[in-house]
Amino acid sequence: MFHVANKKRLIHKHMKKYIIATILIGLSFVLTAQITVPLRYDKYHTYSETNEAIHALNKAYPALTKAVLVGRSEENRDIWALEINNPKTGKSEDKPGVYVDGNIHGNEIQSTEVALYFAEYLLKNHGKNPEITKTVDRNAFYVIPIVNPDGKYHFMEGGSSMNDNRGLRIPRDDDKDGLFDEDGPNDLDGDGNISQMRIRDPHGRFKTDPNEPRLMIRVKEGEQGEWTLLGSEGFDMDGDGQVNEDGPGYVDPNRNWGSNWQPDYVQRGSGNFPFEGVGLKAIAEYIQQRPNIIVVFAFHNYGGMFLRGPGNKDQPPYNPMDISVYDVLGQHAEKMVPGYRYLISWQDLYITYGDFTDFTHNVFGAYSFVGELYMTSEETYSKEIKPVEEGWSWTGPANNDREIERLKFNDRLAHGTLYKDWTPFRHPQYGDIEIGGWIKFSTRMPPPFMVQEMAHRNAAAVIYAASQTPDVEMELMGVSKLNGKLYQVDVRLKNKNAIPSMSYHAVQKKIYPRDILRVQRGNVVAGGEITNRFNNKVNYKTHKPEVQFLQVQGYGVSEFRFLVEGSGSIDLTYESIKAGKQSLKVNLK
Amino acid sequence: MIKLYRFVFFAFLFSGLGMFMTRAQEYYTPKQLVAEFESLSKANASKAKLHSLTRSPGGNQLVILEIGSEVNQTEKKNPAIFITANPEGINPLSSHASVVLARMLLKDDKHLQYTWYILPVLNPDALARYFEPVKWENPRNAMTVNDDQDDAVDEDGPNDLNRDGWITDIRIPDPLGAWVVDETDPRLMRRADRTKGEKGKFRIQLEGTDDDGDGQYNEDPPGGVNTGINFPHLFPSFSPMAGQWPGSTPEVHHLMRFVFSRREIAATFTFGSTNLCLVPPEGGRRGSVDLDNITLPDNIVEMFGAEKGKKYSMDEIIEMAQPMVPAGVELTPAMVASFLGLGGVVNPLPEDLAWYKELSEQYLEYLKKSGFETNRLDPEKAKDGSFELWSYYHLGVPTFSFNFFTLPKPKEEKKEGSGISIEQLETMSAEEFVALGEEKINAFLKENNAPEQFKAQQVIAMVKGGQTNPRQMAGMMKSMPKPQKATEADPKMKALLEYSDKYLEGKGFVNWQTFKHPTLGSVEIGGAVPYVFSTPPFSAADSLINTQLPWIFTLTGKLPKLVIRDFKAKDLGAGVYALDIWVENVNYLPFPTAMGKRNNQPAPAVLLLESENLEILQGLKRTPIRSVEGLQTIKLSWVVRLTKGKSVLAKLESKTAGYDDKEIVF
Repeated sequence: MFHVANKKRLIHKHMKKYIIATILIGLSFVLTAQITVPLRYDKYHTYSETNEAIHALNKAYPALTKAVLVGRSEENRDIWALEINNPKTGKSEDKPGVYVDGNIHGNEIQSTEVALYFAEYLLKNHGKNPEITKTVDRNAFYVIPIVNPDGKYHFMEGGSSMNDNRGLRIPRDDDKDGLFDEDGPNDLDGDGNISQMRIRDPHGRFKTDPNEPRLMIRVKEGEQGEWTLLGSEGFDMDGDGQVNEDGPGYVDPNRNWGSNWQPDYVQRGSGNFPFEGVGLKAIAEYIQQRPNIIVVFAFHNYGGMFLRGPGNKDQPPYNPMDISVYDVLGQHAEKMVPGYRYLISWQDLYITYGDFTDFTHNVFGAYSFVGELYMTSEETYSKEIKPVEEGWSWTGPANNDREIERLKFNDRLAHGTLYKDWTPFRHPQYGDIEIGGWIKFSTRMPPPFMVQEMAHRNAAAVIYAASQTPDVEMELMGVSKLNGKLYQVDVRLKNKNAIPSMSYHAVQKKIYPRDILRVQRGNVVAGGEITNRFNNKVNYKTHKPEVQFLQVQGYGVSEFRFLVEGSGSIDLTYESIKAGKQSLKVNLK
Repeated sequence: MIKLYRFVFFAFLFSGLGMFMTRAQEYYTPKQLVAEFESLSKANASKAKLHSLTRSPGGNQLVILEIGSEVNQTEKKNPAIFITANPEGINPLSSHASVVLARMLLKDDKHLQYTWYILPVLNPDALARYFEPVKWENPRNAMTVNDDQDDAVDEDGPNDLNRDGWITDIRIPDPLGAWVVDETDPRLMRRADRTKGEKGKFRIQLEGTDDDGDGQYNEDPPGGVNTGINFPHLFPSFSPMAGQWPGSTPEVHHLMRFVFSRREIAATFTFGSTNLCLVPPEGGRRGSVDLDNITLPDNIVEMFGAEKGKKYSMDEIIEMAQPMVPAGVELTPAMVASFLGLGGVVNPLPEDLAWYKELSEQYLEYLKKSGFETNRLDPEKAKDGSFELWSYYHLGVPTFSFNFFTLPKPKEEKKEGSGISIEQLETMSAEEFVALGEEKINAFLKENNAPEQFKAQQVIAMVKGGQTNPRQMAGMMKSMPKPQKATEADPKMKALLEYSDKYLEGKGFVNWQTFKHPTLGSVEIGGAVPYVFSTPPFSAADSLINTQLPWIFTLTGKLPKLVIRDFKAKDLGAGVYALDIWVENVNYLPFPTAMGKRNNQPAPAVLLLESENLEILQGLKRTPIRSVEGLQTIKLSWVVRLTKGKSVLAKLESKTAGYDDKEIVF
């Protein structure tokens, strides 16, 4: 449970310090190279490069894509969606929708790469690979590579630690002194990283690790110390004796959605009210306007997990039939990305309220996953492939063995790009200190050379889920003449895939109308669902028999019988909000 | 409209000394409310300003009138009061009250020590329906919602079959029905008493036809979301009229945004169907965590080195957890509760209930003194997802409400019985109880469904023998199932008939009249006239409001106000001083409410030492003041070194509880 615990610790740590850089030093502003298709997956795209990439894909595949401006963030940055649909096979709203997003937490930047890779992979293989062609032709895709553009911008282009700039830029008075965001961390050495500070101190509780001079170990009782840790890079900006105690925000964009939302004292970071985040509200409305979305993947980092809801136990567990569907998708996904585990959010990780995937499951009836990308254990320097068991406790690891291996990974495979060596610095308040440690582009995300495989495997997990979206076919079981002008018409709706035409939750909670089977033309005297195919049992609907409401289960059938008075032909139409439309002309004879 | 209601009312019912300052002749339409507020703001540009909030799904404009002495300043120092009138849109009287309040405020500058934000109607779409030719009390706004989840939207609402302008009820002869005509009044219906072998004769449903031929009646009426239940506290997910998520309708979303961007809001008032001035907020919901008895999850037990299975108080947990957070971070109950996943508060906190109760008693006295008839039907309870609950639980500010009108209670028929309530029993001494005598005690036990074996004789013996006492008995009785009264006619309907007959010439109720229904055959149409329970004839509105509304000024006068009471600087030598400053809350209500302390939401108060002349050796330059109870004083301490001069300025800053400063002379 290392990753789980580690994530917990990071979040806990976060709860204590909202550390976000405020000083944007010098030339981190990137003069972007022209982004061209094919895109590169050995680098991390910045906010503006990502938008360029979306438009480059749109330009390269104009017939299949649309770039849609979903909304704007607190700091007025654009939130773009790339929509993929083959108009030759139908309108997007008539196909099962698959939604993929990334970077809801600004610091979790590899999720953007997964979203971009996913989109480009579909596009470049359409018309070439039969499997992908089928998926693209049958589904509509909605891809938002950056949900939180402000967070991404400040993370990549400002001074940040690996855990900062997760949130929305909504000011909060974290230290309750009446001032907002007045004392965040500072990138003192201007290297773009909020690193750690230490000061030489014979009374400190740490000393240099004799096995690795870049690391420190806790001194034993009775042992002379060498260092005191001073926390994240920064100084006391408001003169209250505390450092970095009120940084920008913090509203967690994955706690501000309108399902099981709870205020900040119950759920840290939830914001003042649901959809306080203007960009999130825009995305909620975007999804609301695309009710055909039936599968949702929201990518985060890290820990190697595919999570499903519920996020908390205040709401009842998901419908057991829906859980079976989740299990099919989740169990495939964890096999496609080695080391990742399919888990239940509240039970296996921690309790959350107001998170995105609970919202899309509960409000829109979409099968919704969080993908937690990357495991630090992938940073290996070892002959054998072995699972890395890393215990974790509140007092820290007993030794630095694992950190030493990670440093070797840094030295030999990443060539020193992941760790900043301790460097002397003259601090305005502490005097002579040292700044160093793991940089922001480490630990929670792979070094660039590992991005593509991660992106591919996770994209493949989504493609598998897309391949299982409902594929409902209508077939005539038989027409027979009863007497005079009265005919018995039996019709079958058959789902060829694992995901039902609508979730059981949606049926149970009546969140939107069920699928409709309608007879047009002809006088329908009676009509109803065939409840037992073998015994000829029909559950006739007493009013408006020409309109039937239904759900088609995964790999299931729904069969109906109509007694129709008429001659010539009738039309049978099937309309599902998520599973498309079908129609059938039936000759009465 | 409602022209039928032009009567002279008995003085005792709509009494009060309020003057009739009416200009309007009828309740305000949504458009008239906007026009009225617009003209008030134009006529009083120095102290009134109109804010445009949003538009409703029906295209109605929502406005908020700001009144105060700082309307043209961006930085405000006065605390503010927020008023939401007519949250459900079915209460025209409450919107009228918001206009009356605005005029009162503009008339007397003494009110301008506060900023007032007045929203005259949260649900203008529903309010607009009050003025339609056919009336039906329907709190849905104009958002289209497919209530019955079929293939059409808003296709089957009620219909005014008898064309009397009202949607009432139809009663349908039905051997399977649950209802019979009440013996006391043929207009009243009651449930058949099946325990006595009585058979039901009617079923009752809303007036209308099956417009879409699906076998259901009135199952998808026009409109969608009730703005009065679209707020996030106990949001009724997946319920009719609640909306897809809290704040899913623009009226509510923009109201929440407006309120949270004005941190000076120190209290809210709702004018609607509840009365938190008179009836303290309801408790008794399951699910609130008892902060004195918290069971720690196993992994946390390990982390804290705590004892498994033991229950801890919040203070104990903070003590255990404090060493684990970085120096300088002060753990609050809110942080710990969030970390432990303790969930939200769902019942009013006892400290808050104490002042709610005391103030409601004072209000009752006030009403009695004003000659206001208080023997009325109870106001409604705040609904899950309501503005009122949101304000108390999420804003954490004192939250009050007025409903201004409910029907007078019907005259009680004298009943033989004990004459004792469980509440009375609770406060009795053993001696008083025994003195009641066997007959009364037996009657009391029977009335309250006590098990057969409990007879007076035995109970008296137990009380005498000390095995039980009246208090314990009361506790037990409260947990017993309530005696069934379902076979009696609804007291609300009884009250209506009495009121209608006495004051409305019987026109508050439509007498049952036979009607040939297209699909149901011969039925009868009748029942309560829409809006009659909460909306008095307009001619009575001002009097009602003028009697009750001024209590708002008594309550706002009790909102917390912080002042720097005193200071003491003890010379420790060489210019170093131990400095103590006392901060007093000079008013009755606490700063903040217990709920506000729990949710950590209200804007903090800060004591600021101007530090040009001063080096602070211990303590903060800006010291947050978390809490000062009503009429209490707290002490803040520093150790400082005076670097120049003889004095410094101490400043108290609180957006909700005022500003103060004092020169500290060393």
